[in-house]
Amino acid sequence: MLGQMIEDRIEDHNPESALAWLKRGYRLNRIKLAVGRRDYLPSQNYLSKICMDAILNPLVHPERSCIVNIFMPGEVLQSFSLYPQFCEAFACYLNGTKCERVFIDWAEANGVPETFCSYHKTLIGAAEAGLLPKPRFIASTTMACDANINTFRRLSEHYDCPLFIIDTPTTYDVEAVSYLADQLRALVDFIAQNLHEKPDLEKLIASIRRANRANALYRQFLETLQTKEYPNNMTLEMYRIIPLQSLLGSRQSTEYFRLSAQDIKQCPDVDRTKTKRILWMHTLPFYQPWLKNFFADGKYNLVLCDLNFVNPLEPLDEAHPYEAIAKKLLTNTFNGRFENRIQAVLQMAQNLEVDGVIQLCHWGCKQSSGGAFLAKNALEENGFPVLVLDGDGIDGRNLNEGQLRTRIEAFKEMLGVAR
Amino acid sequence: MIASVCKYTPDELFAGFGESCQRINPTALAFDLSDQYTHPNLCSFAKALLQSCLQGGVEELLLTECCDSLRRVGDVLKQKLKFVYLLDLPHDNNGVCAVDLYAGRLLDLIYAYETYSGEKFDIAAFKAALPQAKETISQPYISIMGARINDELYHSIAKMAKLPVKTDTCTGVSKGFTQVPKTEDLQQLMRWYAHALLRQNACLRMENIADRNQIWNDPHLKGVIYHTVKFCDFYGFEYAKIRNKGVPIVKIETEYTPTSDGQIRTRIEAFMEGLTPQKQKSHSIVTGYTAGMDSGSTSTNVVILDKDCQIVSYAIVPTGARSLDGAYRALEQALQKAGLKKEDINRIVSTGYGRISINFADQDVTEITCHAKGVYFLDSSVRTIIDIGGQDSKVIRLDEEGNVTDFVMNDKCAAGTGRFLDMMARTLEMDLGVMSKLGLQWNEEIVISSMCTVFAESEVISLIAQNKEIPDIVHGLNQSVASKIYALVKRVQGVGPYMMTGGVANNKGVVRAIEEKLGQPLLIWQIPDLCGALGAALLAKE
Repeated sequence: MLGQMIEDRIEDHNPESALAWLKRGYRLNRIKLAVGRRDYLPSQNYLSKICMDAILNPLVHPERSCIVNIFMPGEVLQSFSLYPQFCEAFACYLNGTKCERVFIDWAEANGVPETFCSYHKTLIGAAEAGLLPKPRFIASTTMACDANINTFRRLSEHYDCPLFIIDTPTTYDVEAVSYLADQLRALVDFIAQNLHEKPDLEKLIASIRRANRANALYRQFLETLQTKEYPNNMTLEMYRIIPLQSLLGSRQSTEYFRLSAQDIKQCPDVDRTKTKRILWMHTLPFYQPWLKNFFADGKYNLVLCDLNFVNPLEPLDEAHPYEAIAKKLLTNTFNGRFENRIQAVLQMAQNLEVDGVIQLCHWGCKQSSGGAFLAKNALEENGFPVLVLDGDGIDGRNLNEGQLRTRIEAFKEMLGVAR
Repeated sequence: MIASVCKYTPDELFAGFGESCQRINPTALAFDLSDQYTHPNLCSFAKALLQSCLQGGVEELLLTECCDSLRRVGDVLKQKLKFVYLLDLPHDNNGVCAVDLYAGRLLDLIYAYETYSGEKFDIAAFKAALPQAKETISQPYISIMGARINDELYHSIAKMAKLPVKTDTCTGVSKGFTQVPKTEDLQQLMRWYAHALLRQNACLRMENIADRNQIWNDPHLKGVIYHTVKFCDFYGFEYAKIRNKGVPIVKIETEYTPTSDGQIRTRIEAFMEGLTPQKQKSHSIVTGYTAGMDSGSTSTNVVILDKDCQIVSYAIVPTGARSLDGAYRALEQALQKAGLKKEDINRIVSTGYGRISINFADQDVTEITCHAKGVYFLDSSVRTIIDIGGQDSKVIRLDEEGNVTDFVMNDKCAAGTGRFLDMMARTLEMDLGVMSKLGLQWNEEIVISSMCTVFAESEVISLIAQNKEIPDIVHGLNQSVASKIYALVKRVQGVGPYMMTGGVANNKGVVRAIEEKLGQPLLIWQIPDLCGALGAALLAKE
């Protein structure tokens, strides 16, 4: 219903009203989340709340917001207490509100190619249709995909708002670290200038410390995940990207990882006679009923998505904050050779002793789809069955339900029915 | 021979090893090999390159990390070819630090090739291989912009264009070097070389693209043919921007296959017609009877006009397997109805996809121009034409004098065309006449979400299985066509009054759905299929 109201208002060229209703709807949802769901663990209820806040805050306080891409380092953003709105998360929430299509159609009608990533199309549509308020600035890394430079350059022109691009080399070496660290220094100056504040190294270091603590707790969580059955669904797994990326360095992010490290200890031990463990590669089409059902019956557990282990969880060197963040970006498994990502997934699949891997070839995502068969071959050679799905993390029109259902059912048959 | 594909590649470097590095631009007849190793939704050029390399012929390949698709092609080919090198190309094409970084990457490449080949790098041979800067065009010309273009298509555009053609695509600008430094210091030399490479006219993956304005601000530029490659998304963005600058522009999209596509030909020819103003537009110079023939994918339509531009006869016949046979049949039928002989017709103009095959026509003109002519004749207040035919749909913008100011066509996909409705009618086991009426009798709003015709068909089948009412499904299909058309209308910034032409204008359900999307009524002539032929017959008078 809310989605329809927003779509109607956008079609009637009344974005102010659409935004007002969106904020009302999200505030109501936030109240509901404060009560929490009985079937969620404390960490999961907390995660739902902080994610809703992360989406709502930039809408309510645009003067303190920035639009960023998924891998823009949270440590820097949080050191300024900013409200970052990152592309994929905002698009997912609009999908959850069931109004993403009007923005995708808007973007396509205004020249954005149909074959472009649907997350980015949703963001562009929401910005240009007038739903998403003008941020203080826009910032993006060039990794992990080509869509970034096009989208954020266009949004910067649309809003007439400052843009900072972090040119991320694909090779990891001393020169690349130094090149990137210099840009991160410039980024801090750029943000400070736009906020009319002074760069504060102490705040950056404090943010890195919180991020290090969060990463240490997350490492504990992942180690425990080897033996514990942590209940999960596609929405929660997508939520987790937010504290791992744009919120990393905030107190909320650290608190979430503290709670999840605590919760998982109380979870039952893995029982392979009852549940098959699935590792997911790439984004999750959380809105798709058949896929939701796949993980809902308790026989197949969504253990982890590879978007949630893109970085080594080693502590960043707070004595050299810029170089440390540079190294983190360069070693992101989505950067450079696809082999890096395959090796990370393979290692995680082995650590977690998963039963199979599902890889989504998200519409328009060449960097991921392009390596799908390389990943499939490598994982299968190591004994992990792989299902490659064609679909879309946002736009259900690019996902054929009948075909999806057949593939999922066949994969279930391949894995063997858990007893 | 080392193969390369990107203009930022240091091709000349290999002269220092006594080797040549050649820019290749392969097309693919099929993607059977590339589809074995990578996803079909990769950029078509990247797939054509992969296909070509897997077929053999390339053993050494130098790629830049210019885009996601080529990066993944590099990942695949690393396992297949003798030497594959992926050069880490900065996005920052203006910064000093980026030049330093790229210079370091060039040195790394030299060391890697030395190790691979066992040859030593010769600075003098490298310097001697650097080409001189070329002169720019200083007369009116057409620019091909956008993504790289295959050689066959380039030559056919050059043939169709009435002006010189300049290539401003992402790979098109040929390098030229001035003031090669005298230094023998390899690091200094590579710094200069990296600087020269990065300062070329920026392609769209680069950070700073302000200098691209020079392309469309050039006073000698008369029009732009904007080429995009399927699943290469960089250039759709710039196309949208240039369209708003008032430069005459037409967009074409290809899949890097050598096939000569009828739709592309129509677009380019219509564009060229628009660039060449018609003389004596309003004065008829041919007296007596004239005929216009619209040879479409489904039907061939003929209109015969008398000296006063009154329709004396018309015919609509199925085109059949050979468009020439259909044209003969249609003309014969129209002549018979009018009681005329072929000799009575003073001039014939053909249009539509089969226009070139009609060898007895005096002239062929694209359906864009013909529809504009026909519609303006019927109602000069119309500013936007929506034409939905058998295999394509078009939206054409007109000015107050009936000139085409802009047009767009659907892509290769059948969604939003008559063929789409045809396929769906077959799935629903009904004829199009029944479907037209049923579309108005709906109760429940059903969204056919799939954009792809094949997916939509399976969606319809599953709706039937769910016992959904047929009129509701038909309405959903009509809405889906209307959405596609609405997107095209938005792309040309369409304004009313609107007229709909083509066979699908007979479909009441589709018409209503489009009207609802536009929020305006559609003007429809009594025989909307004939607008193209009418326009052709009118052009035959001029």
